[in-house]
Amino acid sequence: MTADARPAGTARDGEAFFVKSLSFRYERRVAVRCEGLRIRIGEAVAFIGPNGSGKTTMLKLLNGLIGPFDGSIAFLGRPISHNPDLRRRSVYVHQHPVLFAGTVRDNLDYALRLKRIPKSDADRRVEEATERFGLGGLLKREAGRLSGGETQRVAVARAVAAGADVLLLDEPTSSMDAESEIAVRALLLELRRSGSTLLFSAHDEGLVKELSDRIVRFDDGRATSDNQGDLE
Amino acid sequence: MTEAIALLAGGDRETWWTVATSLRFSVFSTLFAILPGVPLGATLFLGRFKGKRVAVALVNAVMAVPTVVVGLFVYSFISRSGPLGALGLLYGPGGVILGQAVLAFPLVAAMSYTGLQKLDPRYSETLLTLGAGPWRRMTAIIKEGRYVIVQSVLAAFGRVTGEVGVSMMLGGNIRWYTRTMTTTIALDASKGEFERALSLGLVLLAIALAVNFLSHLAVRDDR
Repeated sequence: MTADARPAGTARDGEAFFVKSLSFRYERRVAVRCEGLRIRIGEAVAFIGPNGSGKTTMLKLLNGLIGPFDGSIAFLGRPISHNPDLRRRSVYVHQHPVLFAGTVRDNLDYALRLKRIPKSDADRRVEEATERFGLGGLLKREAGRLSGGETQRVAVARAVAAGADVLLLDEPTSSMDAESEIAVRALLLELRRSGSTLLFSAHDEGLVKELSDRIVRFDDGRATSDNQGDLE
Repeated sequence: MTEAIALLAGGDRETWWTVATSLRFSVFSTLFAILPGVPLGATLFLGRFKGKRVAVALVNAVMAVPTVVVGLFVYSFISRSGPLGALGLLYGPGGVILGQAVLAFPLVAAMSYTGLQKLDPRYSETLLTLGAGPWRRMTAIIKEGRYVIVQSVLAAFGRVTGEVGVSMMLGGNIRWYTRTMTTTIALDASKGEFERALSLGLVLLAIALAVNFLSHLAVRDDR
C-alpha cells in the first residue's frame, strides 16, 4: 500500500497505533468507544479499568482479531485492514494463552513456519528466544503440561521469535503463583528495555507502575487516555 | 413382519441391491456435499464481515427447504432444456447424487459452522495473530474441529439416505437402475405390498440408529 492510502493527516513518525472515532458494537451494545488514541513505537501503555469495561476488546480490535468496527485504526501509518505489517510485527497474547499440541519447541517452530521463515533462520531464532526467555529446560516439555507462568512465557517467546516487536498482552500476570509472576514480570521489563512496544491490560497496580509509560482508562467501554495529544 | 425379515435374511437379491444402491448414492452425494459444505462452514466461522449474520441465517434457512423443492430446482437445471441438460443426468444415478448433494450441502455447512462455534475461540485467534493465512487457518480449524465435522457429515448422510423427494423426482424410481430404499418403500406401500417396504424400513431404521450412535460417539470423543 502506498502512503496515499493512509488516512489523511494521521500518520506520524514513530507511531505504532493511531485510533480515531472508534466504535465497536457487540450484540447491539457499544463495547468500545474511543475518540482518539496514539501509541508510539517503544511505548509501554497500560489499559486499566474494571472487568468488562472493554480492555480486552480494545486489544483485540487493535490486533485486528475482531470487527467490523466504525472509525479507523492505523498501524504504522496504514489502516489495519490489509496491512501486512500488522501480522508481521504485532501479536496478541491471551490472558490464558493457547499453545498448540506438541512440545514447546514444536510451538516455536510452528509459529515460524506460519511466517514462512526459512529453516536455517528459524533455528537461529528459536535458539535466541530459548536463551533470551530462559526456555532451555522447557523445549522438550509437552506444551499442554506447562504451568500458567510457563505457558505465558512460551507464548511471549513464540511471538517474539516470530518477529513481533509490538505485543498486546491481556492480563499477562493474572492467576499466577508468585514465582511465575516474578518471571513473567522480568520478561516484560526486559522486552520494554529492548524497545518493544507493549500494550497490556492489568488490574495489578504494581505491574502498571513498574512497566507502563502511561495509562488508558476504560469505563463501560469508553477509553480515555491521559495524553491530550491523542486527540489532536 | 416375518416375511420382511425373511426377505433380508434370505438374501433377496432385489432388496439388497436396493440397499446397496441407496448407500452408494448417499456416500457419493455426501462426499460432494462435504467438499463445498465444510469449507463454507469454516469460512463462516472464521470470517469477519458485515452481513455475516444474514449469511448464516440464509444457510440455515436453505437447510429447511423441502426435498421436493430441491428436486424441482435441480430438475430445472438437468432437464433436457436446462443448462446442464446435455450431461444427461436426469433419471440416472448422476441426477440423484447431484440432487442429494444439493440437499445435504447447506446441512453440512450449517452444522459445521454451528459445531465449530463450540471450539475455544482463542485457538483461531492465536492462529490469526501469529500470521496464519486464510488457507492455513481453515485447514487447522477443520482439523481441530474434526469431531464436530464428522457429526455434520453423519447428519448429512442420514438426511440423504432417508429422503424420497429428490430420488423420486430426479431418479425416476427405475428398477435395477435408480430405485432406492425410500422410493421402493413409497411404491410398494402404494401398491399394498408391504413385505419389501417393511424390510427396507428396517434397514433404514438400522442406518438411522447407527448414524445417531456414531454421532454420539463423535461428541464423546470431542470432550
